[in-house]
Amino acid sequence: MSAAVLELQRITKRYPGVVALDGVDFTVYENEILGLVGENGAGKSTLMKILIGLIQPDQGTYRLRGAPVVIKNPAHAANLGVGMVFQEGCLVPNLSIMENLFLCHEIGFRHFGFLSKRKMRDAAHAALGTVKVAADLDTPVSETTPAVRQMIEIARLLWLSKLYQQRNPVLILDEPTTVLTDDERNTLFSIATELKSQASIILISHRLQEIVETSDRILIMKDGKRVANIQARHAGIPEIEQMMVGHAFAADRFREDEQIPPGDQVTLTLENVSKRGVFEPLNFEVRQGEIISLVGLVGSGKEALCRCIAGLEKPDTGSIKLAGKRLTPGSPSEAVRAGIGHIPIDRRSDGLALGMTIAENVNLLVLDHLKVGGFISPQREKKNALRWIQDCRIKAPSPSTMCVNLSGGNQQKTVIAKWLSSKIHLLVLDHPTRGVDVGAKDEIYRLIRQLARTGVGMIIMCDTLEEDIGLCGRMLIMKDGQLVNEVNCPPYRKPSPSDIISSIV
Amino acid sequence: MPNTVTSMLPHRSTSWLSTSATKGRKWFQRSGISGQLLALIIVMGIFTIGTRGKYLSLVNLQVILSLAAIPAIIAIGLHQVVVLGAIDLSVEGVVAFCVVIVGFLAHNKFNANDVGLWIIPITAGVGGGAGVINGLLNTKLKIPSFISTLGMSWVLWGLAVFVSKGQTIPLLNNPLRAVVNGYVLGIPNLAIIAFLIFAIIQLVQDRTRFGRYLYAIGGDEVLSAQAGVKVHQTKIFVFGIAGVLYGLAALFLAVKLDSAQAITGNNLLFPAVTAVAVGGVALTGGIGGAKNAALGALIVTALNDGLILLDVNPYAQQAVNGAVLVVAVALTIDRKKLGFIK
Amino acid sequence: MKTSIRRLGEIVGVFGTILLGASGSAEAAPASPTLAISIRTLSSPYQVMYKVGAEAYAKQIGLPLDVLTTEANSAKGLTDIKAEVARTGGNVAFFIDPNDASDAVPIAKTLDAAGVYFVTWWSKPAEIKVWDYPHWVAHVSFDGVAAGVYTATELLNTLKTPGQGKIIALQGRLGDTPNAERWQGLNQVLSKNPGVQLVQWESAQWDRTQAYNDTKAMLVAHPDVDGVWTANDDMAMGAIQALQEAGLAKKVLVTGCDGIPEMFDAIKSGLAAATVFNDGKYQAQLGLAMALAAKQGKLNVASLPHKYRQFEIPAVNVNRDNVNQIVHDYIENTPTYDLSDFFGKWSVAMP
Repeated sequence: MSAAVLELQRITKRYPGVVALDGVDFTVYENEILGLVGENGAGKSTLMKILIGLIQPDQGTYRLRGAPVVIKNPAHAANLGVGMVFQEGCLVPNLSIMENLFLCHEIGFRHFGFLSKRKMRDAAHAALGTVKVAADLDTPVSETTPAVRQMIEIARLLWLSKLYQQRNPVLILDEPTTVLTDDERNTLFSIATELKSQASIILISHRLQEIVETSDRILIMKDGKRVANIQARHAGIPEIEQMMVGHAFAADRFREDEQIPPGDQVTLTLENVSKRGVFEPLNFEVRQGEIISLVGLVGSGKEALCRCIAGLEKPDTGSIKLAGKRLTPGSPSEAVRAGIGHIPIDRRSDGLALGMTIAENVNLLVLDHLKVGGFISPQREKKNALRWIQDCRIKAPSPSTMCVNLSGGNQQKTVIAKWLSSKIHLLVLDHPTRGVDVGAKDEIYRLIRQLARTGVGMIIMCDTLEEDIGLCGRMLIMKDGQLVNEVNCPPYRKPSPSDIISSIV
Repeated sequence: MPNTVTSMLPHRSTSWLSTSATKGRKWFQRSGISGQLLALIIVMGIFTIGTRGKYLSLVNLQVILSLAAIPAIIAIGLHQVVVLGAIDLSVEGVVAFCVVIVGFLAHNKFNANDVGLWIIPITAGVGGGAGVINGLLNTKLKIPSFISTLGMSWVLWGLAVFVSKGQTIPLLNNPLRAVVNGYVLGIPNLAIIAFLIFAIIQLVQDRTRFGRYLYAIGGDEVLSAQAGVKVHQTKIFVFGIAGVLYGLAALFLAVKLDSAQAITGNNLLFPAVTAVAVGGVALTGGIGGAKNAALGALIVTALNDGLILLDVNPYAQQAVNGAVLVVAVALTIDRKKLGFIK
Repeated sequence: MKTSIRRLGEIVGVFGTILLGASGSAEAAPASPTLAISIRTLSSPYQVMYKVGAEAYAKQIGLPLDVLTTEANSAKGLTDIKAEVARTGGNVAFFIDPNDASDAVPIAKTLDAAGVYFVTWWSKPAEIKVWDYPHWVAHVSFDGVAAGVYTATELLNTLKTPGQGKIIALQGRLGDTPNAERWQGLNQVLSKNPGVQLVQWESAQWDRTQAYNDTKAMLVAHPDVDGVWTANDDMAMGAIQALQEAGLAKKVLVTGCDGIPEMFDAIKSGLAAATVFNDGKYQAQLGLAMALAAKQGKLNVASLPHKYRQFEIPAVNVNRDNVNQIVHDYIENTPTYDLSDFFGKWSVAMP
C-alpha cells in the first residue's frame, strides 16, 4: 500500500443537540480513489467541510503529507492541494471559464503590470487539457453545462497544486454524477482513473454502483461514525446498503410486486407532436395507471418532449390531449388545471417554494378546496397538510417547517405530496430520485406505485437505466429526436439494461 | 443540438466537451453593449430625421459629447459599486461637498485661498475619502450600502450647506477653465477626459486582478471569499474609486459653471443611476462594465438633447424620456436573461 | 454664544410644552413683547437676509428676537412655533415664511387660538382667506407678474433692434407659483410686442447645471437668438455660461430674477440685462412691524379692507443703469426702511 497523504484522527464535531462526527478516523492514500458513502446526515459533508477548512473540528488531528496542519479556509486548503468540487458548484457564475480557473491566482500572469491574456490562455488550455475539455475560454460559466463546470473545478484544483508544488493533491468530488448524463459520467470516471497517477480522489455518491465500480476502497459512514472500511473489489452493493441503512434493504428495490397493468382508459394522447430541430413528430398514449419511461441520451429530445407535455414549451405541430380533450400548447397553467403534474429535475428552483412551509407547498394547488366562506380555513389547511405529510412520510418537526430546511429526499416527497393532494391524471417525473439517499428512494418508489394504483398515468425519466426498467411498465426509447423503439417491462419479466443500451446509442 | 455545449463519447474525440460559438459574432454578443448601441443608433436616427439632419451637425455632436462627459464620469464611478451588487446613493452629497471645497480653496471671490492645480488631487482625495468611508461602513460595520451611502450623502450635503452657508461662491480665473471649456480637434476636452477615465477603468476591469475580484464578488460574494478574493479590500477600493470620480466630476462642474454652490450636487443621482441601468449594468450585480456606464450616459444625454432639438413640449419631455428609457431597457433585457441574475 | 443660549431656550421651551402643557405657566410673561421669525433655513443667503433684517429691526426698537428654522421639516416648524408661544406666554409677534403652503393652515389655527398676531410671506393655499382668522394680520408676496413684466421689458429694450428679434426662455419648476407668475409677466409683454418671437422654452427646474445643458441644446436649434429670459438668476448664470461657450456672451443678454450677487456682477459686466431683487431684509421688517402694530393696538386688523390683508408688493428692479446704486444701498448696507405706511408699496391684491 502506498503512503498516506492525508490523515484525520479521532475527529469529533458537535452541533447543538447533534454529534455530527464522533471520533472518526479517516485516511487517504496516494494514488487512490476512495469511495465515501452513507445516508444523508451520516456525517459525510461535515467531514469534507473539515477537510477543506470550511469548519474546524472540536477534537482530533489533521495531518497532511505527514505534517500536522490547521486548515484555515478553503482557499488555504486549495493551496495545500486539498480541494472539493461541490455538488452545487463553487464557480462564480458570471465570470468566464478562464477567469474562474485562475481566480485569486492571477498574479503569475502579469505582464508589465497588466494581466496577459495570452499567457492565461495558454495556461488555461493546458489546465483544461488534463481533464480533456476543449472549451471557449471566454464563455461565462453560467452558460456551460454542469459537466464542464465540474471539470473546470477539477482543473483549477490540479493547476493550483502544481502552482504551489503540492505532490499528490486530494480532490473531493461531492455527488459529481447527479448532474451528469450517462456519457458524461463515464467520461468523468475515466478521467478520474487517469488522474489517479498524480492525485487521490474522494468520491461521494448515492449511486453505489458507480462507487463500487470506480473506487479502490470504500468507507461507509452512519450516524457520525465510520462503520466500515472495505476494499472495493470485495464489496457487494447489498452489503453496503445494509451497512449504510443499518437493516436489510428490500430485495425488490423497485416494488415490482406492486406494479399494476395499465387501465383501459387513455389518459394522455400525443398526435404528431414535434418541435423543429429537437424532436420529430411523435405519437403515443399513456393509459390510466401506466408508467411510461422515456430513455435516451442528452439531445435525444426527451427533456423537451416532457416540457411540451407539461406546457412549459410549445411544440411546433401536433396535439396533446388529456382524456380526449385537447390542451392549448405551451400553457403550463392550463396543463395544471387539466390535471398534468410536473416534478422538475431541479426542485430547488422549480418544484418547490423553498421559503414557504411544507403545509403551504402541499396546499398550493388545492387552496380552492380548503376555503370556508370564501376564505382559506386554517384548520382545513392544517388537516390537508398533515394528511399528506403522513401519507408521504415526510420527516419534519411540523407542517410549518420551512422547505429549505428539509433534506433532499423530504423535499422531493413534499413535491410529490403537492401533486398527490391535487387530483391529477398525469404526472411527469424528471429524475425523481436525484440526490436522494437510499431510504428516501424507497419511499419515492412507494409513492409512485401508490399514484399508479389511484389511476394516475406517469412519464418518468430516471437517473439510471435500472431504475427506468424497474419502475416502468413500458419503455419508449428516443434517439436523435425520433422514437426508435418501444419495450414492454412487465413485472418479473423485465428486460436487462444491455438489451436496451443498443437501441439508445 | 439544443445546447451550445455538446457532449460526445470519449472514444470519438479526446476533447469530450467543447463550446461551439463562432468567433465573428462572439464579440458583439459578449460585448454586452449590443443592445445599447442599437438603442443609441435608433435614438439618434429618429432625432436626425426629426430635425432634418441638424441633430447630426458638428455643433450638436459637440454639445452632446460635452454634456455627456460629467454624467459619464459619475456613472463610471457608480456602476462599479452596482457591479458589486451594492448601490451608492452618496453622489449628490459627495459632489456638493467637493464643489464647496473647490469654492473655498480655488481662487475665489470670498477668500484669499488659491491652491492652483492642487485642487485636482484635493477634490479627488476628498471624494475618494468619502468613498472609502462608504466602503468601510459597508464592509466593517456591515451597514447595507443603500443606507450607509444615503446617510453619507445627507451628512456631506449638510456639511456643504453649513460650511458655505448656502451661498454661491464665484470662482476667479480658474486655471482649469481653459481646459474644461476647450476642444482638441473639435472634440470637447471634457469628453476626452471622460473617455480617458473610461479607458483606464475598462482596462483595469479587463486586465487586472482587481477587475476579476470585482466581477467575482458581484457574481457570488460567498464563493469568491472562499476562493480567496479579498472581498472587503476590493469593496472599499470600489467605493473609493467611485468617490474619486464624483470628486473630479464636482471639480469639472464647478469650473464649468465658474462658481461653487452646494446645490450643484442636486439632480445628479437619478441621471447617473438611469445611465447605469440603461447602459446594461445589471442592478443585481456581476454584469456590465465601464463601457456600459459610459454608453448609458451617452444615450441619456443624446436623448435629452434630441428632445430639446425637436422642441418637444417640456411638459411632455419627461414622459417621452421615461418611455424611451423603458424601451431601451427592454431592448437590453434579453441579453441579461442569458447572463446570471441574482 | 448668544444664539446657542437661545437655542437652549428653544429646546427647554419644547420640553416645557411637553411636560407642562401649553400653559406657559413655567415662566412669567415679560412685560415687553418678543419678536419671532419662523423661516426655512439659515443655509440660504436669501433666508439669512430675513434674519439680518429682523435683527436690525429688533435692535432699532429694543425688543428681543427669536429665530426659528424649519429646515424643510413642516412638523418641526409647527412644534417650534407652539414652543415659542408657550415660552413667551403668547406675548409675541410673528413673521413666518411657511415651509410649505399647506403649513399655513395649522400655523394660522394655532396662533389664532393663542391670540398671537402674525404675518405670513410667500406661501399659503389660495382658498384659505386671511380674513377668516382675526389674528392673521396679512399675507404678503412679491409681485411675480410685475417681476416678469419688468425683466421682459428690459430684455426687449436691450435687443440689437429693441422690440425686434427672437428670444428663448427658461422656466423654473413648472407648477411653482413664482414661476407661473413671472412667466405670465413675460407673456404679457410679448403679447404687446409682436416683433419679438419666443422661439423655444424649456423647464430647467431652477437649476444652474440644467439651465446650462438646456441652453446649450437650444442654441443648436436656434443659433440666431437675440435674448434669453429666465425665471431666476441661478438659471440665468447657467445660460450665460452656455452663451459664453457659443461665443454669444455680451451679444445676447440674459435676464433673471431674485437678485443674487453673481447676477449683479453679470449685469455690471454686460452679460445680463436685468433682474429683480427680492429684499428679504425689508420683508422681515415689514412683517414684524405689521404684526407688532396689531399686537400693540396701533393697527386695527378687523377694520382693514380685504385688499390690505392679502397683497403683493413689487420687488426692487435692477438693470444696468442702477445696479451699482442698488448694490450699494441694499447689499452693502441695510437701508432704513419707511415702516410708517405698511401699504405704501401695495401693488396688487391677491385673489
